Amino acid sequence: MSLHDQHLQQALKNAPDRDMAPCDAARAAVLAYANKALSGNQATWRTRISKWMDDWFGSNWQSVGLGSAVATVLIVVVFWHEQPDDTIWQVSKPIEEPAIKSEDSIVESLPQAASAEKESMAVADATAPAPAQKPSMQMAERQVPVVPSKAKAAAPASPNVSANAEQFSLKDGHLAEVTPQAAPVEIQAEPPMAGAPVPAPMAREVPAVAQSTKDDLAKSDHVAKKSAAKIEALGTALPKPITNNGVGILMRIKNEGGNAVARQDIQAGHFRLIKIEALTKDSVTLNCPDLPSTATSLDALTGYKIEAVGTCDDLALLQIEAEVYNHTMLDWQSSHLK
Amino acid sequence: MSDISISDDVLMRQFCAGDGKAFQALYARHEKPLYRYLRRVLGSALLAQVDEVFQDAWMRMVDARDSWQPRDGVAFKTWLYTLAHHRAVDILRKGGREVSSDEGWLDDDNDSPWQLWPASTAEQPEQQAFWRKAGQQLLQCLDGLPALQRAAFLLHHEDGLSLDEMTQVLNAEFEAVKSRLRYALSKLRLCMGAHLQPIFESDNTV
Repeated sequence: MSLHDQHLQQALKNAPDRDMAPCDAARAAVLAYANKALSGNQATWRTRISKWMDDWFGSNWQSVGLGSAVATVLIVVVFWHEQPDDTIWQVSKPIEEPAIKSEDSIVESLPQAASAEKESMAVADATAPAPAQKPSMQMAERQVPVVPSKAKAAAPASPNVSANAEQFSLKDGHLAEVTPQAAPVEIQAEPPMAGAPVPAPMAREVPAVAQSTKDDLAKSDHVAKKSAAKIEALGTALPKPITNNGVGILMRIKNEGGNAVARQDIQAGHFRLIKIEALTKDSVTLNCPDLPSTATSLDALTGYKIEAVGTCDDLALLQIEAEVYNHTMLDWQSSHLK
Repeated sequence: MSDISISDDVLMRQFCAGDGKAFQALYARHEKPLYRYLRRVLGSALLAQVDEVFQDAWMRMVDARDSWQPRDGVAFKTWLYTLAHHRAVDILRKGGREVSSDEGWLDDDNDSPWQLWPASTAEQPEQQAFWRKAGQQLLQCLDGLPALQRAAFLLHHEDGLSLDEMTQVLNAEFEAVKSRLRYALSKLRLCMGAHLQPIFESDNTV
């Protein structure tokens, strides 16, 4: 006997309950529940890693033991990167290297604007000290290019770097010509901190950063002014939010019921959801503490604001009324979307 | 998001990653079929509890989303129906309804009524009327089946699940599922033939 019957299937298609659907309350409850689950507990890191692994290694990666292997690698990598970097201690030590700085490192320390000068440096390279006497590139970078006295006023490089007099004298002429163009912004130097090193890459880019910082500051100032004007204009155009600080809504739903208050709010165009938080009275003053202002969030499903309201009294009653309030809001939202 | 080209499994992944709209799409896609399935499996005696079971099934699905893994042969739909079916069986047991499936008789020779039935693709008004009555009668016949035979028939004929998928949903061996389906078909054919043959004959005389 065949296990598929076309006649019965056709009869099933024409059954009178064909278009039956769950009631609106059940639908709203399911959607609200999913929404609450998402807003309350976003996907855990474990889930995300699992999904990511699924994407990369297929759905059965766990069963083939690949999961544990990859997890081991991840852990090793994470702990490897968290090992203290020994080189930071080397930088803090007093630098006892020979004062001769390589031409290359000086060139690196100059701003990019000095590319023309680089050519003349290349010529000077011919008379540079032997490679054996050059400090390593790493050390040269950590020694932070020192700003000569002539350029000091113009260059924002930190003065808390131990100065190297021989370096000044070596490249004094070049730097004096280059740095004023590259770093025209005068920045007040902070008081020197003894022994505090400056990261080499930062020091190398300081003049360029200073210039861009000045530009950025000017731009951001302009944007901020424009934004402030826009916000001011919007503030007059948009409806004012409900300013009951939570206490008002508690009194309203307690006295009038969640359904009635929700309908009033819908008519007034105030769409939101309410979340009741249990608070404990202060043991000394017996006052109910304020709820942190950060408790308000947005509902991912509807886009409505979720207003958290704290209460010390009538918690069960208020939670029920808040649930009714939310259901009314969600019912309206789902019927409105239809 | 309602794009039919996006598979359930992809939507479920998005939902697990925190996408509320993906859940809405999944819900919209499976709302009516799942509701219909539960309504028919629970039968007319437990009609009042259909909404509750339906809601509970979705909530279980939300709660268990972290444990969902798209594996070969087990699609999201199968997983969802498994959750819903288990909940329905719980309610059936509490309600004292018959849940066992393999009792009764099997009559493989009961194919005679189909000779008189119109083609299943009929589009003429009187034939459409026939099929409406057939649908109505089928619901009554389904009510008379044991719950697991009913579930097997509905999953296969209404929701399009394969026998393999049905073994997941019904938590039964392959042969047991086949057996339930065979019993269900045999009983339904007998029940339908007995009721619809006179109707069809009277329609023809008019």
